[in-house]
Amino acid sequence: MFSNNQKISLRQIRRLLILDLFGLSSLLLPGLLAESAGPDGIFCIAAGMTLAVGYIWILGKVLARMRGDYYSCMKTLFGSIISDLLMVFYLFFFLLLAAFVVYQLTGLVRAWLLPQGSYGWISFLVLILAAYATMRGIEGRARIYEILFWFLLIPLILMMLLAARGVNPDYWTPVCMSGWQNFGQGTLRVFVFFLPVFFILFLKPYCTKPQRLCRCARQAVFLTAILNGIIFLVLLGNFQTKTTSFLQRPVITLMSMVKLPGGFFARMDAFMTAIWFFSLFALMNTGVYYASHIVKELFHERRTHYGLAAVMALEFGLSQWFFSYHQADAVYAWYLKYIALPVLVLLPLILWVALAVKQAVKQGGVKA
Amino acid sequence: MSTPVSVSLQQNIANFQTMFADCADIKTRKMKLGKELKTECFIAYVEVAVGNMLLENSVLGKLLNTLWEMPEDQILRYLKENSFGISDVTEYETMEEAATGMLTGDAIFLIDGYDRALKIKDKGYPNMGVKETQSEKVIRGSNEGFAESIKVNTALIRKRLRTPKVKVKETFAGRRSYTNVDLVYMEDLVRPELLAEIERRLKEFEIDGVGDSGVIEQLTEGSWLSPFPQFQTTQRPDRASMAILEGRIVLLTDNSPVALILPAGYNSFIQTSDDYYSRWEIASFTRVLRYIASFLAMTLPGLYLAVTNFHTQILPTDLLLSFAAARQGVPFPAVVEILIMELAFELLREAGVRLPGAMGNTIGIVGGLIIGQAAVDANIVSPSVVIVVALTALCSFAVPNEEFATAFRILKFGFIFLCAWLGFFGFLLSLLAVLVHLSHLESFGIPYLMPFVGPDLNQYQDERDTLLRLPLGWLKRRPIYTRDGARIRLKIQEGQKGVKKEEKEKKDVFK
Repeated sequence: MFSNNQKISLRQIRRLLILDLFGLSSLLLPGLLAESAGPDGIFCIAAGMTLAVGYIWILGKVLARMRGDYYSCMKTLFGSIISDLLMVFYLFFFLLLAAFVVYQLTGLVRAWLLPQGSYGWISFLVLILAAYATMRGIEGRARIYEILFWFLLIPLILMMLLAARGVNPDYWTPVCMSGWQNFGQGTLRVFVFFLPVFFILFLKPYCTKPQRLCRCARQAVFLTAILNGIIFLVLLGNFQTKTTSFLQRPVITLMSMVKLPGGFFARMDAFMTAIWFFSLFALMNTGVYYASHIVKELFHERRTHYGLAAVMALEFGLSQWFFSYHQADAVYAWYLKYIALPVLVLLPLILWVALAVKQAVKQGGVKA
Repeated sequence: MSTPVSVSLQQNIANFQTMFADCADIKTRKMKLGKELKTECFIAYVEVAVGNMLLENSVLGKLLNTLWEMPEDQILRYLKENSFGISDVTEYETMEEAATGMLTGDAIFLIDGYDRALKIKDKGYPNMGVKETQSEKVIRGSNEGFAESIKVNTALIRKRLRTPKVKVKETFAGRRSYTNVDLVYMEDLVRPELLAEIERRLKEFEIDGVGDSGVIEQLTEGSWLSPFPQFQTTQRPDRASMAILEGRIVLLTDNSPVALILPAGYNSFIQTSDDYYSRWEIASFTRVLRYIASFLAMTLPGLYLAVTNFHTQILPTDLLLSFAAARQGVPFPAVVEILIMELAFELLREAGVRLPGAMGNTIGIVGGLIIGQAAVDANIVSPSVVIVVALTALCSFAVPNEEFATAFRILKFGFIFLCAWLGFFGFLLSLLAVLVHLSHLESFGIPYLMPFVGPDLNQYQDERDTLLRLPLGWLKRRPIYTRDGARIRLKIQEGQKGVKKEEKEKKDVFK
């Protein structure tokens, strides 16, 4: 009938992308930007967004020429061995991304909801739920976030409005004093947080209107950038640069300080943690979904969930590594900067050129 | 285009049978009249609506008895000259008029060689003599409820939807009980794939006996393990008729007053009949209340445990101190208190259901007032827990569908367990688990959370009848359950708009 066709609408994709982009960026970016660029962080967000829009333009060129799904497109261009290797790279990226998000999510829970909670148990329960959500395909996932979208966004906007009362605009200055290097570093950090827009390459076969995927991704990036910009300004206006950079999750600290009118609730931080809990879960679930999808493709798995089980075991192991190895954050940052970022940007560029050349050759052949 | 009644009886019968194909509740009978039994005639009627037509004291019985004793050559002349003299006989020139006349609950009489159809009045549809519905009470609207007999139930629907497009497909379930199961639907609104799917599922199982529609429900639903029902149940013929008008299928089972409606979704379980009979403001207000109730019926005790045991910083100090004071002297942890009260409440509920009406009410009062108060006085539970449990019970009663409310009642215990163990993290985890489950759940291919998900499939029109029930004038399209191309249910003529405009202009002039 309507469902079980493995197709999702543009609205669902947009909401999925927004939650994917928003969770981690709003949690970590303000601190990172305050540290690297101070009040100029707001310009870094604008510049990072511009870079992301440019990146979407390149992705759009690939999508326009791509026939079938991303994997089969790469197979046609580069052959089985190279495309399999590239898919292994993506698999590794998704596994690490999901594990990092599990680490952040568990950290969030332990910091704000369950201080005495066991890291192992929390991450295990979250991963079990992610496996359940992944098992039924992309339609179910899309519906979850389609429903959750406004439930997360409306309280966030309300809390930001309430928090805006405490903003001191003097804390937004001085601007243009951070230097080009710091500004560049901040912009790059913003762009890294917007990198998940490349998910649209994998989403094409599932989209009801694939020709409008890029527009959808642009809207997601715009909205996330605006939300991040507002959060950054509110945080800076409340905490100043130094405290914002010092706090681990400044946005949730802010939530604990916002006073609600009426006085029925003294603090809202526990309730507001739900926004980041659900957003981070969305991103983690995306990572798990694509990782298990790639495993299925690589091993030609049909109708079983062995691939998913293997991915979940790996996720659990990797998330424990993030927790137990104190340099894991730095290693992951290094991986993102020197491996993931160049490959994720260059690969679509190469694909675009290759597809364009192939198309030109084909057209030349037809004319001849 | 209308079909005139032909002089050929065979032609008329063929037309009639085309019109009422797949209508198991329409009964037809061919007879021969006259002294030598050479003149053919045909009688059609809605089963149950028309009694024993051959009874001497009925109009039809009298007419037939006269015609049996009459020579063939005089029958037509007699009918032309005298039938109109008989009271309660109406003459129709077209088959469509005749069909509509029959659907008002009377019999249609056709005779060979006569190009008119005669409608002969009988006792009509079953009415208030049927019975009043015990559940799904409404403030405004019909009080009729389904009966035990499937024939009466189809007639009760037919009474509300008097069109030959309402089809009643008859089938049987139960190898030994051979129970009659009817699928009632609107021919031009139902999705053919939906009809095919329920027919396939009905053929998929073989069972000894079917005691109630609940057996059919459990054997034909897609996700057996889900606590959420995938069929909507109703005891109200008006609710069933409205569902048919939305392109849904009503499944009636003999010996059961509970009809099953398919497909169903979260939103349809929250809707009630009088949502559409009352003004939109109050309908929307009660709809919002029911949505909140459905959420709290599942989460409130868990939320209480999470806040009071793990996140006391949420509450203002005064409130927190009052909670602490209320718990003074209670020897059990809060989770045990909640479980004791919840189990006591479930026991009271079960006892109340099994006892006869008046005693059931007494049990409710005894349990609620005396046991609750005694438990607080004896320091077994704190007053705040009694309030939480009572509020949760109220919320579960506010959900209009019993099966749907039961799902929340069961899930509530999962929330209690996880919240007692993990606090607000447990609450978020269980909430997400329920959401993941609901987002995967489908009822006959329709996502359970529709139209909160995928509203674009019906041009965002279904959203007008969800959390809020917008004015009826705006609900112009049928929901997604209806087949494509048949979605318009309300047309407001331009002329009426013009009249409204004119009235407004007049008012402006008076101003």
